[in-house]
Amino acid sequence: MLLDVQGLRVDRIATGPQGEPVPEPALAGVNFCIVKGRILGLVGEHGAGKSLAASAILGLLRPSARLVGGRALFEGQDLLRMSEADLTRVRGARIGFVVQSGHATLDPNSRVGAQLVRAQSIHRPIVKAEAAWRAETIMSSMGIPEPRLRAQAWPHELTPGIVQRVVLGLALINEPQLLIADEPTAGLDITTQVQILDLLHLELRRRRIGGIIITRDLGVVAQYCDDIAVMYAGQVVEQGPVMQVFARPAHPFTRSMISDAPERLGIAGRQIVPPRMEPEQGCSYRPRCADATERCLVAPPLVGAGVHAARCHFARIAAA
Amino acid sequence: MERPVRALLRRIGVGLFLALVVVFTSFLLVKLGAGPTDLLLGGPSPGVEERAQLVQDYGLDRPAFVQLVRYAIRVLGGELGRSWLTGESVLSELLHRLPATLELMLYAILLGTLMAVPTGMAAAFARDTAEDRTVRGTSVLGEAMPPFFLALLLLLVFFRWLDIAPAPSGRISIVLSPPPTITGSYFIDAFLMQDSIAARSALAQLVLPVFTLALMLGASLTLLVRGAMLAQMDAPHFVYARAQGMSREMLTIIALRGALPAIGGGLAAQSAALLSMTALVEYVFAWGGIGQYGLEAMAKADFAAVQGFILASAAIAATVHLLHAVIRRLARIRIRRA
Repeated sequence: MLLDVQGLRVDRIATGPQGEPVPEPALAGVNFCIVKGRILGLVGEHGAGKSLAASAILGLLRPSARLVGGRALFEGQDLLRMSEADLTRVRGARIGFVVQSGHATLDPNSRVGAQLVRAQSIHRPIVKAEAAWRAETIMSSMGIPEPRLRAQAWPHELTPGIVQRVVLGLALINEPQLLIADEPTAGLDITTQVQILDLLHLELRRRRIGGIIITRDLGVVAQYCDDIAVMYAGQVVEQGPVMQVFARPAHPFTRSMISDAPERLGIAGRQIVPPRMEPEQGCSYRPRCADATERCLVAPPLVGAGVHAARCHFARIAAA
Repeated sequence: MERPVRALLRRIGVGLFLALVVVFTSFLLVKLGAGPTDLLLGGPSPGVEERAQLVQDYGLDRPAFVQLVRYAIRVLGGELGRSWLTGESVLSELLHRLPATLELMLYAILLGTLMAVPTGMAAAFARDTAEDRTVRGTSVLGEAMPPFFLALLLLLVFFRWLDIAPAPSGRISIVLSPPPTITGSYFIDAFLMQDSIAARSALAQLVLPVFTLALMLGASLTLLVRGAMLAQMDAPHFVYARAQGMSREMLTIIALRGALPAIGGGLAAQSAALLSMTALVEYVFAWGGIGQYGLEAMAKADFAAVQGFILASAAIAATVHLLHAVIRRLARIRIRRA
């Protein structure tokens, strides 16, 4: 087990009518896990809490959110209870992070090569010439033409596709054990999207490291992931191997997502924000579920067999 | 011609145009606001014949437009007229007093920046904590306080009660004679002449007025630095820098570098407007710079001196903005040379 997230709970701090802070549960006990060498697709609608979960695991929550509870065991250590200094040594070194594409990701005031050099020197003592050589090497293995020339470029001089390749290089340059990619291709044109995802997939396989791809696109999951975790309203409602879940989805939300993707996932511009969670009232998917009964007023248990599990009273999961 | 040079020339052109506007405005203000010019020019109580002579000499019977054109031509030729209070040439009086004011402003800008940048950065990193709120509250208070009031407050505490500051009697102790003029700054000149007593006295005289101005400038600059830093810290690239495992020091450098243009712009705007505060502080400390000169001229409706002061403050503001534009240009050239 590379990363085991258990009962991750995060509150979003909203502002009340008198300006007082009002905590609203945004993640209500998220569970998922990643095995070394496998790629997990974390899917769900816009606002389901996918990115929030990733930020919480890396200790990067914004001031408007607060960690309430849970554990995130990374190689046996709980990331949620680590000091900021220890987390700094994990981030970028043992866990690489790829964020949404765009020029805004890279430091606009440093040259690309300098940023790749800096990413190495903050984590270990390294001779500058060696760091520069490694920077060029990773740029060329990220498929960036003329790496020596591009290393001298400022981020705003590069195309979005090249920028995202640099970001991927930054995430991989310290040879992490886990890579988290949060919507790595959002905002890119469709051919570049495929190129970046192919590259990401290839690098994860070549390095035999664990990966999390956060996406709203089930096609991405089907093509590039081994496992899938489906999030709905701040919970993982189903997790399992991609083939098994796609063949026999156990949770009604997963079923509806598979049957009417991509519109449901907001890819076609329509974004469905889940209703505010009311944890006392049982299953959070109940208001939208076609099969809901009185039983759903009680919070559903995690029903599972082996690696495939779903959070639904009526889940029938056949042993694989 | 290279583009930066052309842009610079254009800026200077704009500056000259603004100077004309200032000349026109100051002329108009005095014409409209100060009553019959011959009465002002003639001193406290001119006789009838004297007044007629003045009207004749200065062309006051001509239309206002003609007077303006003649005035503008004279100003462009460097002729600012004579003060009726002292009978001296306004230009030479301004030039004589300028170093005192510039010294005050320069030290205040340096000290204010040195105080504001670390404080604003610390407040940004401690966002919404008690420290942050304290910094913000103090800054708002400092911004809201009139400069002369703060000056008097500091005098009360450090001169009257604690008796560690010298009397507000100008730029050097009244028992000492000023050092020979080299740069115009008493402290630097005395230092260069190796006159340690005079240097120490000049420095002691500087402390309170510089501190007053630095606090006023620093208060608003602190809020500006805090805001600029927070804007950087909310930017995606900063969040990504954290995700890369950057240390606190590295993050500070990244945010500060991104915030520099905003901080520089704010500092330039505030420095350009600093003369109005300096004038009040000079008055309290009997500093004898152009600020005090201008205020006294206003109180006595000394026509030529007031206009000279307005022109001088416009020139200072234009110079500050020009300097800022040049620095910005140079910084951008560095980035474009990729």
